[in-house]
Amino acid sequence: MNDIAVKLTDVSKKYILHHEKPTLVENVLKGGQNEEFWALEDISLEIKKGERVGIIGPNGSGKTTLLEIIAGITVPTGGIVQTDGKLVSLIELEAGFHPELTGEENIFLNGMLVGMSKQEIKKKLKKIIDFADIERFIDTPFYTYSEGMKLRLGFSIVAHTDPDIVLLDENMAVGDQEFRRKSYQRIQEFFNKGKTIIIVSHFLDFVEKSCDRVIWLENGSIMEQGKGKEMVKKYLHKS
Amino acid sequence: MQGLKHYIDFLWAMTEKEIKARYKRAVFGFLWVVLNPVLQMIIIGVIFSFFIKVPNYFLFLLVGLLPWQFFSISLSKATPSIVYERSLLQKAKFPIETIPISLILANFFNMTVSLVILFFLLGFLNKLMFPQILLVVPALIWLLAFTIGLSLLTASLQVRFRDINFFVQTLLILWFYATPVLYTLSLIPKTLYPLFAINPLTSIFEIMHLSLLDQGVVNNQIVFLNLSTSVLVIFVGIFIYKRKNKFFVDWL
Repeated sequence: MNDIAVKLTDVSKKYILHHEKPTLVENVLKGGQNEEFWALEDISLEIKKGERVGIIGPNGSGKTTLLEIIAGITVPTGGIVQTDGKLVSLIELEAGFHPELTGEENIFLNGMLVGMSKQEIKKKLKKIIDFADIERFIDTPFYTYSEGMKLRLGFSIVAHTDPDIVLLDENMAVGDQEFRRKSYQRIQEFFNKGKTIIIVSHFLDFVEKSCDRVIWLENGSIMEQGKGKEMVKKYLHKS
Repeated sequence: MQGLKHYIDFLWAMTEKEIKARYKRAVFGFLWVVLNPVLQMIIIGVIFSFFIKVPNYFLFLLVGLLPWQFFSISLSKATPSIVYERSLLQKAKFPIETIPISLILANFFNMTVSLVILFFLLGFLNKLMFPQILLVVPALIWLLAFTIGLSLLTASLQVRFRDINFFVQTLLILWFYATPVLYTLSLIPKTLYPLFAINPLTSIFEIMHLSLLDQGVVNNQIVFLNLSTSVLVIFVGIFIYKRKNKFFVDWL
């Protein structure tokens, strides 16, 4: 496990799909039907420390589920997930804020939620606020924030956690031009610092450029994996 | 060790959020913590003093209403709390039990504020009794533990079966009349005591009445059965929560 950051052994994830009838009466009389759905099947995977891995695949191939399982947000139905190091996921950026609290109060709450200690947040508070560019609104309630401000603050908090493993979803392009440039730069910093990075994306150019290895998911299984260029080419050919 | 410190910091931050957020845009703000039970006491007192003969009835009511409000608000808010906070669960891995527990702790804090004011009132009326009043402490710890245990159970079940919340709302109405809040056990025929033995709140409220006003009936047998039931509920709550919390996110 020493030089391995993430290790998955035969990981599967089953969801139960509820097929509901359109009306309450029908639901009670005939009962909703449940169908099993395997989002992931027998995924085995090793990601080394400092490796940059891209995950590609069509919609519904299990990319996001895989990311959630690595993040520990959801547990696999079968198999073992091992991770080594502090992990942070840049998904659901705008979640976990309380509308009645001020920006600063929210930074503390949200920062602790994603695993920072109170002291750590105190030290980084200024940087987080500056990066999100919300100085003027820091002591106003969160419900007055615009969508863009919420996303920026969400990104800024997570980006300052100093993680070992970073999980990125494709919707990381947030905010206006200026902020997008800043957040892209921040992600590049993660790249340069030799962090382990796992990216789920439809932006094949980005994946091809920035990943050491690309994993192609199809219907919940690994179709193929290999060097970025090769995989993207094959993937494009197939679809 | 560091994990524990972070856990406590986080739980406290969540609790602080609850305390701060609830009264933020209310004109009277935090005053409502005290105002609410007092208004209830007046309304209930005016009506029920016709039917129930207890000395110092208004004061007696207040002693029972404070812990009852804590219990009923906590349970009815904690039960759907995990479902309401689904966005937190989808964002990061964290100890989910902090959601209901922080809600309960915030309410506990509110009750403590009211109780401290009540102590001053009793002291002013020269009614404080030593060392009997110290019984309040174990009674409140018992109440807190029972509320947390039961809330973990209902909140866990609510994730899977959304009926639980409706059930709890109805249960609380019945529970209010089945608990010695408006009356004390001395007004109840002994033949009905077995019914009170299965309600863990009975002894908690009677201990409160006894220690603050010297008016409750604390029956050893009932206390023992109440304690056993409480321990059972707490264990079942923790057990169900521990087994199910990994799968919560799949049901939200």
